[in-house]
Amino acid sequence: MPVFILLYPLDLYISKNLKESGTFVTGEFMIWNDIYNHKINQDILLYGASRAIYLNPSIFEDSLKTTCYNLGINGLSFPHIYLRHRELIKHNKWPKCIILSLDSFSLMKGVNLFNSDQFLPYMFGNENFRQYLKKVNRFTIFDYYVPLIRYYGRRRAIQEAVKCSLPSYINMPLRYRGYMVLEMDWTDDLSVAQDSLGQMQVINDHSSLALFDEFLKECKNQNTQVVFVNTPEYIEGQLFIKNRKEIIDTYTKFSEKYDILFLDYSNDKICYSREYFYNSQHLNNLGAELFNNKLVSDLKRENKQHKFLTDF
Amino acid sequence: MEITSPAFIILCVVSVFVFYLVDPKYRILLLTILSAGFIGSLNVFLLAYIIAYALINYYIAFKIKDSHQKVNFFKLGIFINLIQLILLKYSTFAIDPIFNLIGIRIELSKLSEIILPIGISYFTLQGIGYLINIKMGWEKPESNFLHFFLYIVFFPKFLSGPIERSNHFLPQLRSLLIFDRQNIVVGFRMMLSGLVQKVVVANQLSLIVTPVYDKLNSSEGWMLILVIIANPLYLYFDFSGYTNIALGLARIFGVELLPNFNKPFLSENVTGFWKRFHMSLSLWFNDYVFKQASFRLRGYKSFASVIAVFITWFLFGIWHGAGWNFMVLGVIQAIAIIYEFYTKKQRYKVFSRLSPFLKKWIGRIITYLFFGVSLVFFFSTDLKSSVKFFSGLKSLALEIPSTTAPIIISDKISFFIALIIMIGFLFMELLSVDHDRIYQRIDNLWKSNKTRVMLLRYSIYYFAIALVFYFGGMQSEFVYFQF
Repeated sequence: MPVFILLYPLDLYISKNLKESGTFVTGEFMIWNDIYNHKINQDILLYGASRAIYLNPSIFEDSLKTTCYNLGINGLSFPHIYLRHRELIKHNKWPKCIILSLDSFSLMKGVNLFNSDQFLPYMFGNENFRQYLKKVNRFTIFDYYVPLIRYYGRRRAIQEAVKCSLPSYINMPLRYRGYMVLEMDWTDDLSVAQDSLGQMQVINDHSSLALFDEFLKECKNQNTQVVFVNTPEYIEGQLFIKNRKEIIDTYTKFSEKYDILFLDYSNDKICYSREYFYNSQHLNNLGAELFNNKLVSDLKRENKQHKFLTDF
Repeated sequence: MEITSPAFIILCVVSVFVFYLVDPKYRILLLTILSAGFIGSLNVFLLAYIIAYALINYYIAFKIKDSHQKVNFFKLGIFINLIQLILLKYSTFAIDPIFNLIGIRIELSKLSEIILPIGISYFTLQGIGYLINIKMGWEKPESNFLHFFLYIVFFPKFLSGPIERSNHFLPQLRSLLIFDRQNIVVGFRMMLSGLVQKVVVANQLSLIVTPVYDKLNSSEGWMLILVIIANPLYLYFDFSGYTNIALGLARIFGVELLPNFNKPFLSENVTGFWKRFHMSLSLWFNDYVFKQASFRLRGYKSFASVIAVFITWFLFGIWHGAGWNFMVLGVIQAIAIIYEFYTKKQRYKVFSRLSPFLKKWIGRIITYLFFGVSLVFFFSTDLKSSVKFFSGLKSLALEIPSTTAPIIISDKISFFIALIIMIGFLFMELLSVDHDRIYQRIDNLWKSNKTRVMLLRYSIYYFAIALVFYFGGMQSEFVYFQF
């Protein structure tokens, strides 16, 4: 019994301190904290996975003369993007516009729960987390309802919480309004993947497709304008996905169904130069800067023609 | 569900509460339901299979006792037990190749993909042991099927033993499982000790051992020597950890299971080692195979024991799995035991010149290293891999430094903590054998109710829980689950 009594205060101690970390789990806590502290009331929100996090809200704000925040969630797929969206609208207002970065893996079946430690301080007793994380089989029901249990064996998270609780801890957040600078050299991820898989066939998950449809319907009902963006992908990486065209077609169908602007950069000249990427999927700092400006000017041009961003 | 996972521990805590809240006469039924549920959660077909298995053994036991054809029924019972074991566990190795050779296109190994014979090696030995006990008149058939079924399926021991004896387990069920605070305290302590052994120590040792067997091509020289030294410690802390969890959990429910380990690394010879390591299995083979074989082969006079030792250890080897490496594992134990038997006098003469301390430690070190070397056959996937392992030792002579070491210990602090805990465990074992007075004093102090001691005791419990919590989560299956 004395063991059980200690669970709650220990849980509180770890969770409270862990949330303070600006570097752990690629800085995701900063975004979660802003969500729960009702700080995300910008007009434009940038959604997506790792290919969204280098979209710079400041460039959007300067060019489009509005407010912007990046909610990109590193390494995860649409159900997790949607989980963040659900939590956002629970604690903040609906945005006027969502720019959604899509990639070949957004709706894919069997995506691992990357950076799962980011959910730990917030998931206790939270039904949204239970609903949208259940498919990945990483947490049990006890993790949501018994204090501290979810930290079992999460050595790095415990270490980080203790580190954050020390007076000497200096917080250096990795993300600024969700945006993260990636100063990296080219890695051989693609050749490793090519060597082991040859080519990859992506199979979309039915429930993710249904959730995606539901999300778009919700946005339409709330008068939130959605824009799809397929950010540049290095050409060799594009060839690695066997059914890439089929996946892009799926997004095109959704864009037609809900009258959504779809900016596809598959054939952009950025895609043909390795100097803009640190791997086949992700732009480096140089590429990101170039692309941010390109995207914003395209949005402006499209808006002039089609007036899709009605309030700007 | 992993038995070191918080989910399993929470379910156990809830089960214990419910167990002691229900009327004592329903407790065995509840334990049986829990055990059946546990097996059903692993595989529903396995549960159905085990119910059928238990019914057959239950029925045959009565026939052995009452029928005029008791010998025939006994033989039938043993045959059924063995054939189901062979079909489900050894068909890939022993039956499918023969069928293939004579042109029969049936793959019996597919059967084991449906039933998933988890725990089969353990419950089969329990079934055979029970029938032998009935045949020999050492016990009467159990009249209550629920009791007999629980003997087969009792969940703390189902996956990896200890291999229970029916005449040890079943009488405990007759005395009803009454709440005893001492059982809870002792059981909790054993479980906690087992969790520390597995989660903290064994899982860290596995970082040295398993990658080398997985990547034999890039393992060589001193790394292999390190693995030979780590083999026994890894297996011991893994298996002893599981056993303590099983024993502790059973004790909380008021059931005492047979012990499996008794400070094995303090054995001074291989013969003594096997009386202390995986005791429930080695004693089972001693009682039901070695003694029976020695008796039947008594016509061969002095060779009877030698042949019986070989048969016993050969079967002991293949009990572990269908592979030549396991046979070699068994046979080399037999060779060592026979060697020790025949050279007893000579060894006594040579070693009597040494001091008792030196004699004892030379024996312990040789026994340990012998076990470490023989475990190469245990951990290798097949005999070819074992040979490859020993061939890799050649690079030791050439002193080629390894450039592609598969052993990666990224969290050195955790590894260091695990090593200290491991040394602590082994040191306490050493004290209990070599310095029993000091050990006794520590033990008495530990049990004292003085405030300061209680404070220390609870601090150690909390520290152990914190360690398990911190080290947990690393997915590493128990080594003996595969049998």
